[in-house]
Amino acid sequence: MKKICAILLCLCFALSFTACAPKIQKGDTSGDYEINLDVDPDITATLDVLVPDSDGRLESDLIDALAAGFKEKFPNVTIRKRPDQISDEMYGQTIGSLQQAGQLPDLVYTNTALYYLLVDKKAVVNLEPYFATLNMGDYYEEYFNMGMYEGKRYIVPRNVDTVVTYYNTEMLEAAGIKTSGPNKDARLNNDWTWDDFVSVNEDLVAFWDTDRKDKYTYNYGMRQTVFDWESVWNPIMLSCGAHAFTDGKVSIDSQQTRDFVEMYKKLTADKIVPAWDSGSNSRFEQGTAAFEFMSVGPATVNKMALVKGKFDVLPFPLIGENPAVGTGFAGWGISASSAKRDLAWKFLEYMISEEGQMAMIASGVNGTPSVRRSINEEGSWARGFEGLNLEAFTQHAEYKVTPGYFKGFDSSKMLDIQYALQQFTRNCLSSMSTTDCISTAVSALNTAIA
Amino acid sequence: MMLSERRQSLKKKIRKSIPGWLFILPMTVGLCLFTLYPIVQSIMYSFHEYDLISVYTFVGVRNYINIFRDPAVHKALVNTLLFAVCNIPLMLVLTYLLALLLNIPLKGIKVFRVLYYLPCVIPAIAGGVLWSAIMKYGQEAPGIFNQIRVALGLSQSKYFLSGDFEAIRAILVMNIWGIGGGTVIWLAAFKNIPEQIYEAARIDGAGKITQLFRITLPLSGPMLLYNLITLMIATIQFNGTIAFAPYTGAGNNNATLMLGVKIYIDAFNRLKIGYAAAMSWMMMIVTAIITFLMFRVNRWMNNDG
Repeated sequence: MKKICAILLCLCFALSFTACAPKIQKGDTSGDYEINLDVDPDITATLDVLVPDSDGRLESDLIDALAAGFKEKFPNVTIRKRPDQISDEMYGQTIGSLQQAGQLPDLVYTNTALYYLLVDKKAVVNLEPYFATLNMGDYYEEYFNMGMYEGKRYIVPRNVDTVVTYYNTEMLEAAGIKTSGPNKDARLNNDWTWDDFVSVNEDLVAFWDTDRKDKYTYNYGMRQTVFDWESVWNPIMLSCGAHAFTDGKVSIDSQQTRDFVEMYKKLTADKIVPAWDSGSNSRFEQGTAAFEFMSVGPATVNKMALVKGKFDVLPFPLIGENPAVGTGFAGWGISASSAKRDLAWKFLEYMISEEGQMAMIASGVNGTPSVRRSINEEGSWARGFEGLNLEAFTQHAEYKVTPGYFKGFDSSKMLDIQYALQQFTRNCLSSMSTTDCISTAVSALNTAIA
Repeated sequence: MMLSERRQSLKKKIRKSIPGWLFILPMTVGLCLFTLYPIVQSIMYSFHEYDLISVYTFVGVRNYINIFRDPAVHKALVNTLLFAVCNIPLMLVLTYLLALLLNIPLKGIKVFRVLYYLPCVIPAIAGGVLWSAIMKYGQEAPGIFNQIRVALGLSQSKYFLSGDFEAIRAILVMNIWGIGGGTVIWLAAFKNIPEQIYEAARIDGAGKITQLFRITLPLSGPMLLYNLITLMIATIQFNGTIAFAPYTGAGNNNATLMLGVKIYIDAFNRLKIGYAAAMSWMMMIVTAIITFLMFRVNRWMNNDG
């Protein structure tokens, strides 16, 4: 009996060894391939679309808005949403698990921060052959180039996200800072600078300090937690001339970085932003912070009950001689394992068509500027909010930057690099000295790329 | 014995054992599929560079060598050792003391036993969320612990949001929540001590304290090894911070980065499956060595005694 058991056990081990080679994507995703744009309109198929399951149904609702119009073009095609966990931490696991299970949807959701992993891991195909069929003059090509990897584009952005500065008009008015009319404060213009931003906030703080113990106990210019968002700290660092890496080596220990740290520290010293570890929950949407850096459209902000109807918007404040403004995209790539590549492209093509873009705008889900020039020029992307300073979203296109500090490194290091820099920005807003902030960052970045 | 007779006897044996095999079949299949197969798979992975999506390349022992070169492993090791040094004795003493209390024959004591064990059946995620609320740090809406601190005139504590040892201290406090698990084991050990021994001691005039030190402690001693080993394994593998600490459980400035958390992050956030598998095997080897040493020390102590 012992022998039989031993044989069974050995068999089981042998089987495990032979059967446990995992299923991986072997096809070439960057090479040339034949495309067929002549897809039969009567084709019967189901297109699976990966959407985030924790974004308040934003992407899901946008897909619904697109699916209705796409149905008119391909009546027998069903768009099936596949909600899954999409976050900086979970993205790789989600994509990997779906790939292992042979369940990776035809269209894979991604964004500025996540696409690098998706493309580096060869989960989506190069879309250059498809882009060649588009008239790129109709679009802001720079937004399509954001998802570029080794000179090729893999992602189709659904719209444009630019970091802008929302402000609570009621709070500013209460402090005597005119936000409209002939006496509008001169600092609140589309070319406003970081110094203007600080100066307006100093006026606010001076006003709040008159009644700090009662009415304005928790008021700040802006919440601290927005300053560790890469779309905020990355342009600020770049504007200061500070770089985390140069030629693949850590180069954060520089005078430019010191300037950046001092800029952050001044914000807390002047009580414009609470210290990172103060425990303050001051928030724009709660009416306890006057400003907020966000990339969402006015329709989303107008859903915030406490600021509804009493906000306006300015561009991201310009810093120094080489200013940078954070921008990004959300969009979809076509899965390398999809057997319906051409049909998937048809859906993406519809998404960036005038009709598709207007369908998303009409849904009222988010409403940020379009990837199409004509829609932005007509201002039709923000119907109902024409009274706001909508130019803030499209101003300073020449300064717009996406996070690129992780480029050149293996995508598995991306998250560590991001964490190290995020922790650095948090330390800058704490009581940690400038020298310690930088030396801690040097150590963390070296660990991240080790 | 003739060959045909032997064959007959074997056939009979097999026929007789069929019902037995059938009974253990579901368990055996389950064990092979969900335990044996993943074990073999993880050995395979540990010798490969594998990212779940597009890379599966044999790299020999490179993953194992990289463990010694990874500075984050050093940090995780220091944190895990620090946590183990504090957590193991603390939990052993607390579970024993609680078991002694719950062993007192009082009316309604069973209700207390249930209450103390209850946290063990609550999922770790739910526990994490609960403790996040209890230890919440913030000016506007602090958690109950910080409200108490403020009421006592103390400053708020950041607990697991802290970037230093304070974070591990907070986890030690949170861990007391699971004290019921170890307590039940001690209670079982107490129940195994024959009542006659206590009776004899009482007749000889032994008081409660004498009974505790002369009977309960020595006779429940053998369970110490079991509790010590299970506690040690649980402490080394600890990854409970994933549910609530920032940076997928690593905490601010890696203050709560333990080996279990590091393996999880490497496997599922960084998609370094092969490296994570190698770390798991290293962790298993270290745990096995410590367990072996504990058994040897126990045997040496018993022989000595």
